[in-house]
Amino acid sequence: MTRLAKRIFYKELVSYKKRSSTYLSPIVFFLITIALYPLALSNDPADLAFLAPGITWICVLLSTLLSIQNIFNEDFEDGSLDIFFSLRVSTLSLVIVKILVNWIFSSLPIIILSSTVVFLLFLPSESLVILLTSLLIGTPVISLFGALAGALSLGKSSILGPAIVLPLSLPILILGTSAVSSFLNGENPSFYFLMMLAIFIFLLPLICYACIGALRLHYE
Amino acid sequence: MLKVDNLSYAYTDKYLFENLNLYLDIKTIIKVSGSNGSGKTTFLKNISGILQDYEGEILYLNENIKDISSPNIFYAGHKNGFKDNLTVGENLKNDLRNPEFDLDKIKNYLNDFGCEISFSTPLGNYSEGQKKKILLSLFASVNADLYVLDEPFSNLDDEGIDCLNEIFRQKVSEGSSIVFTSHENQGKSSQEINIDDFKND
Repeated sequence: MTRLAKRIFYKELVSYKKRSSTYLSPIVFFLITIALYPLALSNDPADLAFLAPGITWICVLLSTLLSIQNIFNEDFEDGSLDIFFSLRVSTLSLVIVKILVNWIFSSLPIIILSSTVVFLLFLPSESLVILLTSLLIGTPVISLFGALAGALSLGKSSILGPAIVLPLSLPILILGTSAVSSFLNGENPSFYFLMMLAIFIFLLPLICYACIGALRLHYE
Repeated sequence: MLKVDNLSYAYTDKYLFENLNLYLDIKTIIKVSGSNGSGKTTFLKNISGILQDYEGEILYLNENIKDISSPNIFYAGHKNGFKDNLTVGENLKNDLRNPEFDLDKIKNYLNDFGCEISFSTPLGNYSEGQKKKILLSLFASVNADLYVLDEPFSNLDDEGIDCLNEIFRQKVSEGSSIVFTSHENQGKSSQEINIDDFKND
């Protein structure tokens, strides 16, 4: 079964690489929205630095939404899910592989690009590590919610995706921005990191099994 | 090889078919016919273990199909499982049904189908008929005990139909069995069942 999971992982990588819109759209969306804030809000570096953690996190959340909700839809439409089930591929491996590859392509580039907020939003460079760490821990949770939304809305309208992901992601958004803000205020942000990590560890098995149930629901 | 006992399948409250019985021996080809929407595809998904919420029992090599961890069944549905944005070669190489990718074997079958395909071209550039021939070349190159094929003769030209009948004959002579659906008079089979006969209106 591990061999099959490896083959799915490789196929997903090849498929995502060829489907450039999946990872380019979130990147372009992120860069444009981040660049618009200084124009619309203020050009005062102090104001922007104060708002930077929140703005960055909101932009990351909205950007990842663009690709995450279709995580299972293509496989459902082209019949790949039928083949997975006929081969008795472990649904758990399938769900984990799909979430992992989606995170690599939709969230990781944005996390790297969020370094640009040091220039665009005047975020103090010493807090960049804190921002990146919060995104590294927080975005996998958003990917989990996205996978659940994708599995639930299989073959249906995509409005269900954001309706599920956005409300569920609010705690992560609050913790992520609080981590950076607390660091800027001279406090230790480790509490927020630990909370986000705890949420991820708690949700990982829960959402994976919920995804399996939701996928199976379409085959009953 | 495959024994279907009193199989019934319902979507919501309406039964597609009821009390379907079938025995499939080795070296047998069964054609499943029926009108549109009669449940042919559903029946194939039942015997492949994809749809498991049926009533009755399906035994594959005397074991319940639901309990088998890796049945040697090749399933090719109406949707081919290929991705249009990948090249033909990438699709075939990464297809999970194809554990040992043999490029030459697939090329030979594509030639038999009279199909000129470049493996480095995106699959989306080809017509539905050509995609069908690529899928059938994959089917021909894979070794399985049971092949479950949904509408393999649709979108095929006369040359393709003859070639597929020849591959069927070859697979059966190697000891495999085939179950396929068709609502046309195509495909030579040793047995035929009509899903419409198992409706209880």
